[in-house]
Order: sequence, then structure tokens, then C-alpha cells
Amino acid sequence: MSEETPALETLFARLLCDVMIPAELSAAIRAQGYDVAEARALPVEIQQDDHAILRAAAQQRRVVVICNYSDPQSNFCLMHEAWRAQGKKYAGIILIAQYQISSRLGRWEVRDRLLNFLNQRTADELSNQLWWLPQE
Amino acid sequence: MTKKATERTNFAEWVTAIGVDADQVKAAWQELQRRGLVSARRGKVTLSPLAMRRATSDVQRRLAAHLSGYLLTENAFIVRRAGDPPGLPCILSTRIAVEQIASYFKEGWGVTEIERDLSILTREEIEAAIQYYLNHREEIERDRQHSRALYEAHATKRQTMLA
Repeated sequence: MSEETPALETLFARLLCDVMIPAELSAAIRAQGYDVAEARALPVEIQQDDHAILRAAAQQRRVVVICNYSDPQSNFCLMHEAWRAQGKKYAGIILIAQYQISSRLGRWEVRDRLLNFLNQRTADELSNQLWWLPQE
Repeated sequence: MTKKATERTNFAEWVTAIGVDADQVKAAWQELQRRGLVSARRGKVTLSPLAMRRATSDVQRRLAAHLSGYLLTENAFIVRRAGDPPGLPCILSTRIAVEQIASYFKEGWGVTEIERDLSILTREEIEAAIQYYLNHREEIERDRQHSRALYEAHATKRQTMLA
């Protein structure tokens, strides 16, 4: 356990849901005992900046849950590669499909898949990695 | 903006980017400046992170977005990040893609429901994204298909149990 931030070391992941993740979905994950923060509560200058989101998440040892993987200029796959190349540490990134969370029913399947995913992995296993949420 | 400040900053370029006449851009600048959302010193413009959200007119919004380095579209609420290639259309200052709002719209969500679901967005912003989608259906549908294909190509089919 690191001496600087002992309170942040947990067995299972802590999450930071980005602004495009519905509050209802974050609340559903929180209801299962996860520590889930939401980017909408961060200062607006952080909300507007991908790097600032990842930095804030890294500082708080939170895995970022986000849908931005297809925009060439707002792309957490590219950021993951850039951060890894620079040897910067962070708690992990989980990519979920945007078209599934805007479906009234599909989002509950996303919740179940995300919980399965998180329940089977420790925070350590997720760190410094990019994960695509499994499709089933 | 004082005359000197106008000369030092890149005023002519702003007018071209925003596409309205110089007087309107000047008035928008003065209003943003009066409210402490922008300032210029020795030709260097400083912009509050709140400028885009607190702008009260389309010209102010477009000016703030341009000064923040975004590429403008015909819709004052919809921008792209600059770069090669440029970013996908998204709602000003939110990092939420038009594509996502198009998905909600196609799933039959109402503006009020979307507003409740993504609480950082205003009604105006959601309507602007829907309008942009309706005016650019082919492009946004292409974006939606592309991101769906990317997800399906990368995400494993099943959860794998750890040993």
C-alpha cells in the first residue's frame, strides 16, 4: 500500500463515469457497493478536457468509464497509448458502447456486463490497461 | 474591446471564422469581456472555461468556441475539435457527441428525458444536436455505424472467467 495515498487502495475498482454516462447507470453500479464518482460533478474546465479527466481519475485512483473511442480528436484508445508510451500511471479505462446505453433496455444489460466485469477483476488488474466492455 | 486591443488581437480572423459582420463580433466580445468571461492583454486572449456555457447569444457562443480552438459548424451549439482529421461533431463544451443524441432520438427518447439522463445538457443543446442530426443524417449515421463496428471488432464476445 502506497504511503502517500493509503485510503485510495481498494481491492475492487473505484470508478469515474464520464459526462456521457447516464446518471441512472452510475447510480445502478453504485447501488452494488462500488465507489462511483461522476465527471459532471468535477469543475467545468476538467469536464471539457479528455486529458484532465484522465489526470483527475489517475489522482483519485479511479477507472474511467467512457464511450469516446471513435472520435479521432477525443479518443481514449489513443490517450491510453500515449500515456503508456510516456510511462504515466492510471487506474484503467473501460470503454462501453454509446449506442447501447441510449437504449432503454440495453443499458441494463450494460450494467450487468459491467458488474460482471468489475466483480471478476481487482483494481490492480485493471490499472494502466484499456478494456472494451465484453459484448455478452 | 478598445481600438488598440482590437488591433493587437486577430480580430479580422475571428470575423471570418464566425461569419457575421465585424460590429456583431465586436459587440459579442465586449459583452463577454464585460462579464469577465474573456480578456485580452498584449494581444493574448484569455478565456474563462465557462465562456462557452455562459454565452447568451449565438455570436458570443461562436466567438468563445472559436477562441477555444474548436471548428465551428452552422449550428452555434455544435462544434468539432480541430485536428487532422478533425473531430466528430459534439455539443459545445461538453464532449458529448451528436451521434449519442441521435441514438437517443432514434430510440424514441424525448428532450426532457434526455435532459434528465445527461444532466449537464440544456434543452437548447439537446434540440441543437437533434437538429444537426436531422440536417446531416448521412454523416451522423456513418459515424454511428463506424463506432458500432469499432466496438464490435474490439470487445470480446463473452466474459472470460479468470483462472
